[in-house]
Parts: sequence; structure tokens; C-alpha cells
Amino acid sequence: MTSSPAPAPSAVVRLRPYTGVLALALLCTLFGVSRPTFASPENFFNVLNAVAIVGILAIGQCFPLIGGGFDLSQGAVACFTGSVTASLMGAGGQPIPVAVCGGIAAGMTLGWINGLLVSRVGMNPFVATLGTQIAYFGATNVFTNNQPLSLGPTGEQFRQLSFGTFGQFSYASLLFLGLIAALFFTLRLLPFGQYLYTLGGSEEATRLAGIDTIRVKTASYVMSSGLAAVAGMVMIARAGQASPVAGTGAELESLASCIIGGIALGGGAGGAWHVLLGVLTLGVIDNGLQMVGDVISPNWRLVIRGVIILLAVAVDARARLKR
Amino acid sequence: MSAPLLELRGIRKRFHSTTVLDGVDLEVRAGEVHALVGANGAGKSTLIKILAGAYERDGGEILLYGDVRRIQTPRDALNLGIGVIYQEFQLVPELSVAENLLLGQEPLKRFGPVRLVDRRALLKTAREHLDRLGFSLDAARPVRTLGTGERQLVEIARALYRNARVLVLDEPTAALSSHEVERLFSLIDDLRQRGLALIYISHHLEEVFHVGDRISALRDGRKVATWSRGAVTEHELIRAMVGRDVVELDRPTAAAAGDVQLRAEGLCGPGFGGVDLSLYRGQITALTGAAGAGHTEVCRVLAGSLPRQGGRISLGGREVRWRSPRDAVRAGVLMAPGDRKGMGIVPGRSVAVNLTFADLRTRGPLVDSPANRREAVARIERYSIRCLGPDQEAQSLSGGNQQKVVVGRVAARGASVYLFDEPTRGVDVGAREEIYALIHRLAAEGAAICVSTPDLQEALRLGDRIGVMRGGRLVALADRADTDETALLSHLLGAAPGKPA
Repeated sequence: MTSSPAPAPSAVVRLRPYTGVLALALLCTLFGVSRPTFASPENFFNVLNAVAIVGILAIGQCFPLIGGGFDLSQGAVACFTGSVTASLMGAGGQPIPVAVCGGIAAGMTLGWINGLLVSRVGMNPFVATLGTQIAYFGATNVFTNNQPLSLGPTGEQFRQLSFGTFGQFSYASLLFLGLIAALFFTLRLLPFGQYLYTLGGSEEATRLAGIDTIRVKTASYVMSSGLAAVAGMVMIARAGQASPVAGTGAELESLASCIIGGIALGGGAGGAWHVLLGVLTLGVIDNGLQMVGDVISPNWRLVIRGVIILLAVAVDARARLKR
Repeated sequence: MSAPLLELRGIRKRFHSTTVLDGVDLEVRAGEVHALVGANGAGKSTLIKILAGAYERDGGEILLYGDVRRIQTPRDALNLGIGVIYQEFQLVPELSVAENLLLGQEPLKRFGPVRLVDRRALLKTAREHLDRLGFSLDAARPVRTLGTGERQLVEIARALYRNARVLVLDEPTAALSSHEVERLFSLIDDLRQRGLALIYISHHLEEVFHVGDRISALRDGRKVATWSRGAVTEHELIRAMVGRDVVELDRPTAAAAGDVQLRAEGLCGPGFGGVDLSLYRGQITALTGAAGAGHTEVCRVLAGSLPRQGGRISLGGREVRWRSPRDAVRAGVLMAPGDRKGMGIVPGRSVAVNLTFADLRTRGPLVDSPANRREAVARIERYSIRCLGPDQEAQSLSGGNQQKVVVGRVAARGASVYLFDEPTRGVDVGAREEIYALIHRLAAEGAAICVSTPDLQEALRLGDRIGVMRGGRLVALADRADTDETALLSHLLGAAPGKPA
């Protein structure tokens, strides 16, 4: 347009940012009306605590997602790093900070491998992280000899991560909320965040601008796995041991949360707010369905989840078509 | 002349609060080429998308042979014999010419209950069709191996296979070499004789005057006027398109060349080889050639965007070996890509982000958002980018303004060498002049500049020196004063003995 303004977005496009909030509000109202205990403050903290693990994974997942990829190895990374942390603490007798740093370092290393496969080798992220998922689970089997690892004498203290509370907040939920804030900060205020969006929007334009796209892309997978490692620690704190099958399928939960929150596959859009929204929506569905378990069989949980995911994606697709 | 074959009456289209087409009338007779001109955003694309069934119109009617027709889907348009050849071709690169021609209408043969594509009949039908049209195309060749001009022939052949009576050509010469343009024009003549009704959309007024039997100008969603060829001058037409007089900004002075800033010796890359080229400070070197002649690739190799496969590049006398655009950018060599959709604009991001992400202002480790925004506003002003504001999505700007964003992002950074690949592709007259002025200003400030363009007039307009590439070789390099369009064209076509400079 030489002088006339571009077409204004249609109603569905304009409403798109709020459909997630509206859906969450609707769900809360439905559950709240049918079960008054749903709306109690205690239950709010329950939900927050319950979503902490998947929430932390979703925070990690949104980095490769915004950059135009995704990470299927998160569950395996969480499982592996949980075992590393447990063995450092239990068998190794290391103090908690050492074990935690060791676990996170292990996670970031695995993420770095993912990142190199996608950015430098140029593999499709689906194939690359599917392959590493299998290999990382396998590595956990080798490392743990397929046995659960105990957390050792410091374990009780470490379990505070899941069970300790500050006021009504569990430490795990505080960790989740803190990381959401950190995510917001990273995406909004760090150049890395900006480049992640331009990378997801147009890789070639970003590369031509002289930005090291290989590094940005690799870093997005390092973040994803680093946060998967944090989630892995909450998992072992919650379970009291590191199971060699923990985290199976967790990457799909984190992907689902991001998608429900409105972060599109293909990249270039989304933010901390979307992650929070998606994670809470899934959490509310699970929690609410438990409460109405006498009316709606818990077997319906996955069906309802699936439908919500499809609805979220359908609204997004519709909005794009209308443009 | 006969009654109109196609008639559009009072076509209206709104995108929400914006009226894009406001009652456009247009008629095309059988055996007529109706040229349609207008600045970017005038509504040409929207009009043909309505005709093609890609958009639904909000008002008005479409008549074929005097009958009102409903066109609501692309299928309706195809069934009614309306073929549209878009700038971006709608071919499947991995399929052969024949498969593309008959896509969706493949001849089938029965094997009991199963119906399979009859590949032999497919090839035969396609060959017969191509022969009938007189196109020398190998029906078995994959489309991916064809050049732009040949792909366009496939598109046209496909439309004609579907019995198109109306053919819309949207900027058909945008990516064609001069001799491909000549071939296209004789094909258009042929189609005219066959009684097709053609709508020809172009930014190139010479073409419009050359092929158009009648010419209509659109401006801001309205038709300004329709003239018969000869009843309007170029100047009048431009005035009708832009609604004001275009002042062609001539170069302030012919630039005196400074030192060599960047030198390529025996440079080889994808699709070209043995190129010796020096870029001097304060001087613009234009590289031209047919599509696929290698001028674009030379620019991209110099910018580190494509791999160097041989030869040397030196910058300020020192040899450089860059492996990515990042290396080139850090050394002060910047490129504005020609393919703005694929490599220029970041979709989904604002104009502000698109203008500033390449050189973000930071405060310590943090992005200094207010400073970036101020800078974006300043750049919007400096490069006359017409937008609703810095927060508008860059993707929703017109082509010309998107191009100004891409060029502005690069030009604002301050480099010693600028490479512009097709800086005005699909850009309207006004924006083109603004981009020319900007490139001249960079040269005047002492930068060494290389512009790659398929347009000879643009090369002559911009270049202090003009190089011509043919088949991956630099076949001529001359000062502007020592060459003219005829000379360039003969080099480009290989008509004159090519003398590498």
C-alpha cells in the first residue's frame, strides 16, 4: 500500500491472543460451579504444585519452539540428569549444590549435542531429537543398570524441593514461577531472545544480518535440556529416588502445554505468558477432572486434553487463514 | 472490435476497515491485451485474486461473454477458463513438465479395481500440447531443472491446457532475461491472435506500451482511466498512477572512483566462475545479466551467503575467507537480499524489529528497547517507510515498503561495502526512486557498492560501471559513459564478442 494502511486484523485474529485466557476462565468457571472446593485457595496452590514439573519443561521447550524447532528429547534428558544427580548425591555422597550443578551440566551437555545435530549437521529437529531421546534413555539404562537410584542421606533434605513450602507455595511451584519470570526477562530483554524470534521468523534473514544463527539455535536446545534437567531434579525430589523410566512422554506434555498456550509450531511467536497459560490450562483440566471424577470417569482425561489441544490449534489455524 | 469477453463491474473489496478496491470496472475483449498499471497497493493484486477466485469480492459482478458468473473458489475460475500466471509460480519443482501440465487431470488406466496414472499417455498428451503451442520444452524434464523463463512457459501451457480464455499475467517479465522477454512478447502476440483475452500487469511502462492494446491505471483501489495505446504518454500514465509528478532524481555528480575496497580474483561459486571484479570506494558497480547468468550469485558469494568455490576475495588489500554472512558483516560487507520474502523480511515481527534487529542497541547485556524504538522511528522517517507505525507487522506492508525496510536495515548500519541484489524487484515507481536515491547517498558517503539487477535501464541508471554476466562469466565491464543499452544487451545476449575486463 502506498498510502492506505494495511488491512486491520479480523475479529478472530484480534481475539486470538485472548482465546486461551477465555478458555481457561471458562474451564475454571465450569469446575468452580460444579465443585466449590475447586475454587478454594488451597486448590489453587495444589494446581500450581502439580504443574511445576511439566511447567519447567514447557519453559525449556518454548526456546526451540520459538526458534522454529522443537525438542523431543526432554523426557529422556530429565530422566538421565535425575539419575546423575541422584548418583552424585546418593552413591557419590556429594553435597546438594554439587549434585545439582552436576545434573544441570549433564543436561546442558545433552542439549548441546541436540543443538549441534540440528544447527551444524543440519538435521531436522524431529528426527534429531527423536534419535537422541532414544539414545539418552538408553544411556540412562546403561548408567543406572536399570535400577532406581536412591538419593542417599542428604535425600530427605533434597526432597524439600518438592515438599517444602514457603507460605502456601511449594518450593517447586515457586521455582516454576521464578523461571517463568526469568523466561519473560530472557525473551524480552536479552538479545538472545530477539534473535530467537527472528530466527524462527526467517532464518536466512537473520543469518544475512550477521547473527550467528548456529549459536542461537544451539543455545535454544541447551536451554531446553538445561530446564529439562531442573525438571528432572524436581521429579527425583518428588519420587524420593531416580527411576530409569521417569520422564517418559514428558516432552509431549511440555509441547502440548506450549501449543495450548498459543506458541505455534514453526516458530517466531509466543512468550512467557503463553507458556504459563498453556501449563495452567492443562493443570486445571487434570485437577478439575479429578474433582468431578464421580461424574466424569477419569478415563476421559486424555480425550478432553486432546480435544483442547486440537481446539487451540484449530483457532490458530483459522486465525491464520483469515488473514 | 468485438464485445468484451470479460467484464468486471464495480468490484469492491474491503479488508476490515480498509477499502482495497472501490468499484473497479474493467473489460477485456477477445484478442486484446489489456495492460493494468498501478503503484504497489493500488489494488492490482487484489483485483486479479478476485478474478482467480482466491479472494471473495464484497461487491460488483464478473461477466463472461455477457453472462454474470459466480467465481468464489479458484476452481470456479479455472472451470470458467480464467488462468492466472502469478509472479510466484505455482509449479511442483520435483515433478516433470508433463506432470505439472496435467496436474489433477492425469490420464488414468484401469487395473481391475485400481486406477493408475497412465504415464505414457500423460507424456504423450503433454508433448502434443506443447507441440501445438510451439513450445520447445522437454515434457519429461523435472521442473526444478528449468530456468525462470521456461517455468513461465510451463505455467502458460498449463493454463492453456485447461482451456483458458482469459489469461492474467502478473509481472511476467520480473525475473526474465531480455531474450526471454522477447520470446514472451511474441507468445503474447500469438495468444492475442488466437483470440484470448489477456490482462497484463507490469511496473515497466515500456512493456506496457509495447504489448498493451489498451491501458488502465489503478490508484488507491479505483480505476483512474483506460486509454487506447497511443492515447496516453508515459508521463501522463505515471501521473495517473502516483497522482503526482515523479521527479526523477538524477545523480548529483558522476562519482570519482576512490581506492579499491573489495577485489575478487578468479572468483568461483555456484553457477559462475572466473570472475575478476573490483569495487571502488564511492562508486557503484552494477552487475546485470539474464536470469541465472550468475550476477546474483556473485553478490551472495561476496556477502558470504553462498560458499566461495574458488578464487580470492580481498578487502582493503587483505585476503578474506568468510564462511558465513557473519564474517562478512563483521568485516563491513553488507548485503540486502533480493528475495525479500525468503531472506529479507522476518514475518510475524514488527517493522521496528525488522529495522533494528541486525544492530540491536544494548545497555550492558540487555536490549535497550526504548533506544531501539527511537532508532526504528528515525529509520522509518529516513527511509520514507509508509506504515501505520513501528509496531505494524512488516509482512503486512506493501512490497515497496517491505523492500525499503530490508534496504534500510542494511543501509543504516554503516559499512564499507554494500551489495544490493535486485533492490527494486516488484517495487513501484515512487519507491524505486527513493531506493535509488538511498544507494546514491551511500556511494557519495564513500562506500563501495555493487548492485545486481536484471534490468538494463536500472543498471545504466545506478551504475558508474556496468558489468554484464552471461552463463556464469563476466563478459563485459564498462564505464557508464562508454556503454549504452544496445551494447549491454548485445553482451547479455552473446551477440557481440565478449571481452572480459
